[in-house]
Amino acid sequence: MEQNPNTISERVIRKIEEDNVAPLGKWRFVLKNNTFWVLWGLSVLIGACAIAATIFVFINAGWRYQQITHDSLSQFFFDMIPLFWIVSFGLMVFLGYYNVRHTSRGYRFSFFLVVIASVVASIVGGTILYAIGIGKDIDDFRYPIPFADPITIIEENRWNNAGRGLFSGIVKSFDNNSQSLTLILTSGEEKVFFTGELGDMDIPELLLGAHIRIIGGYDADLTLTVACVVLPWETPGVPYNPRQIHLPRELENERKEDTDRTSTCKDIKPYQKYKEAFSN
Amino acid sequence: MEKEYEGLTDKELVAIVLSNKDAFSAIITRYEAPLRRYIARLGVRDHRDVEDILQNSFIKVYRYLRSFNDTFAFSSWIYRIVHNETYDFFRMKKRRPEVTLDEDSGQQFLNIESHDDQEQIFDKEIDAKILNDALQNLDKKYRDVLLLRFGEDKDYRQISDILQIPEGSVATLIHRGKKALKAALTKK
Repeated sequence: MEQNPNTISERVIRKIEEDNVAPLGKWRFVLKNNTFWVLWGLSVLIGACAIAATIFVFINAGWRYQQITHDSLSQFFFDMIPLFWIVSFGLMVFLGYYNVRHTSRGYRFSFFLVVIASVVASIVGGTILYAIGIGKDIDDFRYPIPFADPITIIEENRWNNAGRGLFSGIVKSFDNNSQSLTLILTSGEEKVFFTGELGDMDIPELLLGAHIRIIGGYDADLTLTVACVVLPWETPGVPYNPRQIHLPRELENERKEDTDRTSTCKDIKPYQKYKEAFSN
Repeated sequence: MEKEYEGLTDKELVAIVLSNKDAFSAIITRYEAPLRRYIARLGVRDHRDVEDILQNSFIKVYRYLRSFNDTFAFSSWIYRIVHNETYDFFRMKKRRPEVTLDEDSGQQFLNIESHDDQEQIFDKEIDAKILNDALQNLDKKYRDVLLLRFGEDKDYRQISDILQIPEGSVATLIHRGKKALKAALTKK
């Protein structure tokens, strides 16, 4: 029997034939679905990198000397907090949710479930990445980004602050007789320090090629830069322990007590803070 | 010709359509009436607009047939396409849905008791026009779930698949939607 030409069924079939409509290949849908899962995986991986870098930053933020480098703990905290990585992590969690939501079954998962899964996966991944030692490499990715320096650069800059009495660089030469130390600063500039004010604990750090920090300042005539304390630029993540330093025997009898230091050092604020923090 | 497909499940029918497009008319016949009613309930008043939406939806169903995942119910999948097509129509025409429950479906809607707390929240005496007005002014997210739950008698999983939201959200929206509808009806 002839079908009624006005039925929706006939109109649809006719339209399909006229426009040559054909079912799209399954591969398109499989590809789309898998792409979103891969993108979710990528967002978790990048989130894990952000976590690894954040862990690195928190551990190597310069906690040991924060009383010297900053006026308060809150100032130190705002200075070191890795906003770039925290924002990146948040963005990746959001992207992760967006990607899962666009998979064929993604809508069945609640927002909180997807977010918690992404956060937990990123934290686990980030901890592993940090543990295998690539937290610093990831943090160094910040280098070209304005206002988002890696923590190692931030720490270098804190210790290249002559106005505050903080210096860092590589020991180029040290002459104990003339009490003179030449340091190549991070900026590349050479700076000569008077070392007559240093205590015995400082001397072993002054090895050629050693990367060190100096707390110092200018004398009353502004002609000499006086080194008051020398500290090692310890490997990030490895806590500095002064007890590990063994003085050479010949220096044992030359120990200079703090009371011997002149007012040049005593007037330098970071030196005062250093004494307060490390007096025992 | 469609009689030969009558005993088949939706999934079996889909498999046949992929190798024989003429069998697609069996799917159209099977879903035409409920989908036509659903489009009208979503607020499309003009008969010709309903026809256009239905036709475009079926063409889309055919085009995207291989994206149908047989772990889902086919009816949910086809309802989802029609739902999206209808809201695309509203957006394109810059129109607001005009909810229209006819006398029968309005009564059916009103008579459904709450499945959650066995509390009958709808007054059987309320006429369809008042219900239409209340639904019309209800937030879209509540209106959609209430229409599917009490108008189309879909379960939470099906509503979740049609609206693409988690089942937990469906339950919450139904609960809040019922309260909002009850408040709107009480005001009248």
